[in-house]
Amino acid sequence: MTDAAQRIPLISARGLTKSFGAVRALRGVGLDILPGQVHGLVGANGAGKSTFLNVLAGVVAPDSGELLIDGEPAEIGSPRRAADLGFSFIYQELALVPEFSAIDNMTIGVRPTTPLGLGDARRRKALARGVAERLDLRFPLDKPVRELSIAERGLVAIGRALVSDARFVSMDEPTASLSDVECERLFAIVRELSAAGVAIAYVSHRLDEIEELCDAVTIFKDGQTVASYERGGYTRDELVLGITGARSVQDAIETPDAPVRRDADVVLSVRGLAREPRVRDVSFDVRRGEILGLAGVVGAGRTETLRLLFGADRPLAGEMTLAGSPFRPRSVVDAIARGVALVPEERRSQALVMDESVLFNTKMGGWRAARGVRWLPFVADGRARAAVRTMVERLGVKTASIQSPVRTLSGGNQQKVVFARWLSRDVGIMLLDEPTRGVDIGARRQIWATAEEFAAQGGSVVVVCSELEELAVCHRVVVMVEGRTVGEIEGPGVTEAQMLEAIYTQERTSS
Amino acid sequence: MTLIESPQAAPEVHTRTLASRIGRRTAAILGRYGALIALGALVIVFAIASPYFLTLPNLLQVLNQSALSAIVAGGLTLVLASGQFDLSIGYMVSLSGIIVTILMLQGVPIPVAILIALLAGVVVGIVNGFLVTVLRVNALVGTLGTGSALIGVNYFISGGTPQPVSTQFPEFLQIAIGSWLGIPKPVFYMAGAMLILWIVLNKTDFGRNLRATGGNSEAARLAGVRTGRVTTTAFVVAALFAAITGVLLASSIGSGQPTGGDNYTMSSFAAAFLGSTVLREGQFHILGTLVGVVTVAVGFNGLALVGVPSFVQFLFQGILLIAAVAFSSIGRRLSRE
Repeated sequence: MTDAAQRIPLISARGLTKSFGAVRALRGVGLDILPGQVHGLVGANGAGKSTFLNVLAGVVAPDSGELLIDGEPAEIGSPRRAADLGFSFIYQELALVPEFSAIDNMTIGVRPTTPLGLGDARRRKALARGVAERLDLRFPLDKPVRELSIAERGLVAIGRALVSDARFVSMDEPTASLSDVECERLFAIVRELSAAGVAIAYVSHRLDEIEELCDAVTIFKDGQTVASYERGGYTRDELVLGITGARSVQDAIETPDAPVRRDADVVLSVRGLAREPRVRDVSFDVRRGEILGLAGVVGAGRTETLRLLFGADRPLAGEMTLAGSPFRPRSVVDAIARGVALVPEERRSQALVMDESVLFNTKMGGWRAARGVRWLPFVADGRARAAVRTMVERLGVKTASIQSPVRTLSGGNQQKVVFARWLSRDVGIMLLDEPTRGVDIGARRQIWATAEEFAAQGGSVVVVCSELEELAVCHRVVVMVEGRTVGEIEGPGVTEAQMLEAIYTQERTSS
Repeated sequence: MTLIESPQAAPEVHTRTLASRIGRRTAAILGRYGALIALGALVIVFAIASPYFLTLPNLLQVLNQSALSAIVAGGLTLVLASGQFDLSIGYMVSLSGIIVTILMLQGVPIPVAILIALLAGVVVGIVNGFLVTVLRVNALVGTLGTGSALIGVNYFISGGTPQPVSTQFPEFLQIAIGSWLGIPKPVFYMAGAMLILWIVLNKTDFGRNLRATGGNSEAARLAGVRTGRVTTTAFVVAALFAAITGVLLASSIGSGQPTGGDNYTMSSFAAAFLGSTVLREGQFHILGTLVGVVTVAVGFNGLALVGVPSFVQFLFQGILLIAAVAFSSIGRRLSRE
């Protein structure tokens, strides 16, 4: 503390405010980030963390308040200026150029040393290779990044920050798409940066990480900073209370008391499913009323398995049986017709039309069923509106109106809209891919409750979730390693430790 | 527990902020209503400049001049709303006019000739849809290719010469020339086409699927929309409406002109983009396209009445389009920031 008090904060904010139209995104944000400090920023979605970071990035100009850099009043104003200050930002939605290689993406901000930038290629390559070594990157650096997995792309984004010799790095949900092993690697990198004097703003919904990694943590709520703590100066309950306003840990994280359903009918049976390279040999059964988890590290083939079940890709080998009859979906439409639904991994790019309304997004894909008369192509809008309104109420979607664009909703509420879409159709099996990614604690609980209710009413759920602790909702967990199903853990109450053990004993034997 | 700080500063309003807020509001309004304001301004200016401008015959003339452009641009609006482009429509207009006149000159009954011309539109639409959705050729490139192919077919069957039909087939001219209830016939066709397209886009499940595909085709596909089919249908509608326009154009000038419809590509894109800035933010919609077409027609008509040389009209169309789209995107950015 005395040490910290002597140092001048790299970034010091006082009373920052910012409004977007009628929305007051920041209503008084103040905090200090010291050199070499890992500073956690926590808070529900929409609490103002991202807006604050956008101020530092020079993307958003604050309406009022004071910002000191190295103790001097500063106005950042443009992303270029932020880069000159040595500020580097790793965004939730990774800002990479998909056609560029990892090398080019990492060195995109490196300015040429010669007048025309000639002869810089070698320098760029050397810079990138050096960083790749530090990060222990094990994938080809010269392939277009679109061929990399999401986790690998995340590492490229971190590489970019390292290449630029940043003094300050902001990481927005950096572990959202990482497996536990990769998280550990990321933490090591963060600690290394911190030891080298780089200040880090670390945004995460995962409080474990915050406790483990951060030297200080600041809680955002409704556009304000409500408290800042130093490492060890707070309890988990205090954080949760600060974030949610009321809930305790027990309430915030679901506590399943699910009975095992060994006797229930098998609804979906998968045998030897394969589509190289990601899916090699996947077999499991899902029963009526069951929530089945697929556990594994990133790259284990979980998402790809769900895509096969949903007809988004076609398997090259293997058999599936749905409700007793063969199931070979040739398209998404086929799968949906058989009552299979997917809540995809990337909400913005795969699930929603951001500029369209809650009503539109809920009904998307189901407008044909919303016809007034079946053989006439006209939509019965009144009925559709009423149905969506009921569904929005049932799922507790917080929106000004069902006519509001979904882009104005928080991440959790957007996800509920995707659930509303499937729940208003005739669905027997829900495939959930990272359903709680980028969702705050309160909404997370509601999302799991929705899945539980769906199963309790006779539906079946197959869920992929990288936050293993949340898979505790499952009745049973199937463990996947390198595209194969390697084991099952019976619930209820499957623990993170059980899953990790299953994953890592397999990894050891398979390598 | 060590509480480092809990800073809460009273928000202070800078005068600079207030000024920029007013600027922002203005920009947002200009973005949303800019095209309508421009239309209103043009009407006022021309009304002052020329006493003839606001007379009924002249206004009907403006609508008449809008009619054919509106039908092509309306069809194109569906393709644009699905997130694609169609650069071949102008050439489709020309080809359809050539097909219908040549068939008539060959002795094919008029209704059959028209039907075949429209069928050609459907075929071209299917080809465009196939290129874009199955072969996954970029729409700009693919429809540029079909457009060029259409010119080739056109010159092959016409020999590049006009196909006059006015003397042999006066009844064919009756389709587009003349008026009902004192209103030129093309205006009725335009109204009918716009009404149908408006209903398709706004009241049918196909229209919703089209918007979903245009908004985020991957999300639409994963929600169960048959995006390929939807996009192809949009291309078919666009080419069909272009073919209809070709027939009407041939009827109104009494001749099939090998390049008679080529300019519709540019004018309908201009109208649709201009229209995308009307009321809705950057979304293509039928009413907007109609406003776009009429705005351009008012400009052309007014400039001609004032006696400005015709090259200025094209300058005007270009500047109007760029200004409207620029204002719209600035307005959208500011209102969202």
